[in-house]
This record gives sequence, C-alpha cells and structure tokens, in this order.
Amino acid sequence: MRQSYWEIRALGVDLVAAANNTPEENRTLRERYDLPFSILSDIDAEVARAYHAFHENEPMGRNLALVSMFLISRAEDGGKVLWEYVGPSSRYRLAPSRILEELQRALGRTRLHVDVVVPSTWQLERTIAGFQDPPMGFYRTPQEVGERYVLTYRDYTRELAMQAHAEVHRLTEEGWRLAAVSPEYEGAVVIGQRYSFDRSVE
Amino acid sequence: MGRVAPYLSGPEEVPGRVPLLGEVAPAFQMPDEEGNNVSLRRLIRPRPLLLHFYRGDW
Repeated sequence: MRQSYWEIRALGVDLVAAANNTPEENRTLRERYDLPFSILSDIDAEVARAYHAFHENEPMGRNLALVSMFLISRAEDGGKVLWEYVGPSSRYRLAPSRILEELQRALGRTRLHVDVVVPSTWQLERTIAGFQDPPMGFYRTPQEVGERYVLTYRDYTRELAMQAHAEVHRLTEEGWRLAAVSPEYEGAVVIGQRYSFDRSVE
Repeated sequence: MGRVAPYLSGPEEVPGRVPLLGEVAPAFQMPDEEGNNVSLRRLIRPRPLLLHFYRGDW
C-alpha cells in the first residue's frame, strides 16, 4: 500500500487505513514502515463490523478486520461505496496493480500517468563531489493538470536516484507502459531523464 | 506488511457477507495516531476516499 500510495493519489483519491490498535501502536507502525498515510484506531474493529468486514471466527478469537478496501465517493456525491474488496481471511491482499485498475474503473478514469525523473550521472557526481548543497529531498508530487494527474520524482543523491531507478523497474514489472523518455531541464541544463508511464483500462 | 500474504488474482467471496456496494458508507469517527478524532464526513469533503482495513497487528 505504501508503494501504491502516490498512484492512488494520482487518481485523485485520498487513502486512510484503519486497524484495531491504539493510536500509539499505530504511530509506531506508521514510523516503522514509513507510511505516507494515516492509520486510524478502530478499537475492537467496531467500524470494520459496520462495513461488514469483521473477521468472524478468527482462529485466535481476536477482534480483527478482514483485509479490505472501500472506495467512498465525495460527500457532495453522496458518500457512497463505489467499490469494495473484502478478502476471505485477514491474510489476503489484492495485488497493487489490480487495486489501481479497480479504482480506475470505479472512477470512470480510463488513463493514469506517472512520471519518474531519474537524475543524470553528472548531477550525481556534482552532488557527491560536494559542489552542491545537500539535496532538498526526495519527493513525488501529484500535480493536477486539467483532467490529467502526473507524479514527479526529482532527487539529487545517489541513494535517492537508485530509488527512482527501482521505481522505473517496479512500474515496468507491474505492467505500466513506458510512453516516453525525455530530458528533464532545470533552466537550460539537463538534470536527468523523465520516464513517462501510463496505463489504461479497457 | 511485514509478513508475506498471498496476492489474489481474482475476487474471492466471503460467504454470507452482505455487500455495501452502492450504499451510503457507514459514518464513523476514529482517532488518528495523535489521538485526534477523524470523521468520515471530513475525510470525504475534498476527494473520494479509499478506506483500508488492516488486520491490526501486521
């Protein structure tokens, strides 16, 4: 879910998790897994019950939710369940690429774009040689461009560049189509390559 | 997230479960990591929401 977070955001959807933990336990989990989304505290899985997602007959008798997902429309669209997935046990999960496809379909979006910017070697060497201030950080920003949502990676350290490379690899593995590779400019200087991926739903 | 669970390729039904598809999502308030109460009403004001239940202990 952490991997898919920005793709889900790129669809114009917010993500929030819920688990039968105290807020403190959730804070620990969130820090341990470096989650970009919030985990709400569903004590005794009461909310999960309301969503018909309570794990009845859990082998250890614990109050656990079934691993499940609910896409809920905006308040002004009625706050309705547009799509739901409830696994047959609390261990089951849906593959990330599948989740994205289901969300796209439910939202009536036919195309999703993700851009990853991998910085150039020159940029890396310059950083490593210390001619440049430490990086501003690694960020992926969903930008809304009309109907189109674009994610961008920009980064300036070797470690972060490797993450960007890994991301290009992951997207390829998950069946995204590489639509274009183009130089990324900062002013007149090429600072990296922009990989534009997209995927469509029939 | 720490342990490996199988990925499903297709939908699997939970026997006897009544689907909520098309219904108004049940309202809730749950505390976040800082203990602040968060309501569904507030969450879905700006955008649609994907609500994801975890098993709890991960």
